[in-house]
Amino acid sequence: MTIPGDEIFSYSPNREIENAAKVNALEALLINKGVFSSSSVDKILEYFEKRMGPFNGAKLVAKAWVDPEFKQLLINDCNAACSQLNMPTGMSGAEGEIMRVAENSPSVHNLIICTLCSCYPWPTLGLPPYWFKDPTFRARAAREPREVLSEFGLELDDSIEIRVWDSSGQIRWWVLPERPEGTDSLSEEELAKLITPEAMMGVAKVKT
Amino acid sequence: MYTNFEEYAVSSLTGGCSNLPKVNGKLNFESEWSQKAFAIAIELSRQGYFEMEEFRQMMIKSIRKWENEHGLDDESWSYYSIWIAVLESLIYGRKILEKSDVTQLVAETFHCKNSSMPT
Repeated sequence: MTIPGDEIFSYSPNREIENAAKVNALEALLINKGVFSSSSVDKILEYFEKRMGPFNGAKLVAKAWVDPEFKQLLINDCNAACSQLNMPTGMSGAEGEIMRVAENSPSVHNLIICTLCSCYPWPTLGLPPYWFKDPTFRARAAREPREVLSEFGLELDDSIEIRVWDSSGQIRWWVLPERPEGTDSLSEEELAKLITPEAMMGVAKVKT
Repeated sequence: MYTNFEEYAVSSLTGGCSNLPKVNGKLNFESEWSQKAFAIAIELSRQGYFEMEEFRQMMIKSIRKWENEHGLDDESWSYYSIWIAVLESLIYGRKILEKSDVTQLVAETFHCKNSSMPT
């Protein structure tokens, strides 16, 4: 199998139109050949929209905040915790085989990256945002995480240790953020609404 | 949901980009074609034509190659252009489709568009 060569990476001013035409042609021919049905693409996208997304991660975090035993399970065996809440742990190898959670604390802040490409825990966080795949982000977050977090608007005291977790084909990391103060009276459902994908990536904190 | 945040992040990290790709209120997909390219790869993998891990390894090699040949802030970067290149490589390599059929259909699409353009 060859790796795409230089001609693929040449930057054409019509790239958007050409890519759109090519993808449409691929889909049309796959349907024509009977490999796909006319609804295959929509079904996949719907699955990622409704079944695999940051709403799953938010539920897991909220439960972990109110249930110490579940929190321990989430940290020890994230996929088992997903199964307990009847969540998808993967989809035909779609990035969720082994997920691991890094817990934030007053003295440790965790950040997830993927220096290789864009490995990401799809079942719990959905699809990665555009900037997660950007070469600059991938390189700089590994090299100077404190500065990058500061540019994201997250200023961390020098006394807080920053741990950077580099996801791979084997392990997809995500972050268990700290429960914000003043949320004792909130229900699990209300807590889940506070939790953003950014907080579970470690580029933000959970705010009330 | 987090469009503003993503715009801020991309602008900050790439040193400013005047034309941020944005569809459906967020930047997860750069465009409709990237969304479709993503789904095609997942569906082919789901059907067993290739493993996602194989796809991922090819992405890693292709991204590394791109990065070796371009500056980190090169605005020609397009994750999903690389995705399509890898997808095509697997589709033709596994004989799922013939490259000539795809090339022909793309050419016909352009011919149609050009023909319908006012002169």
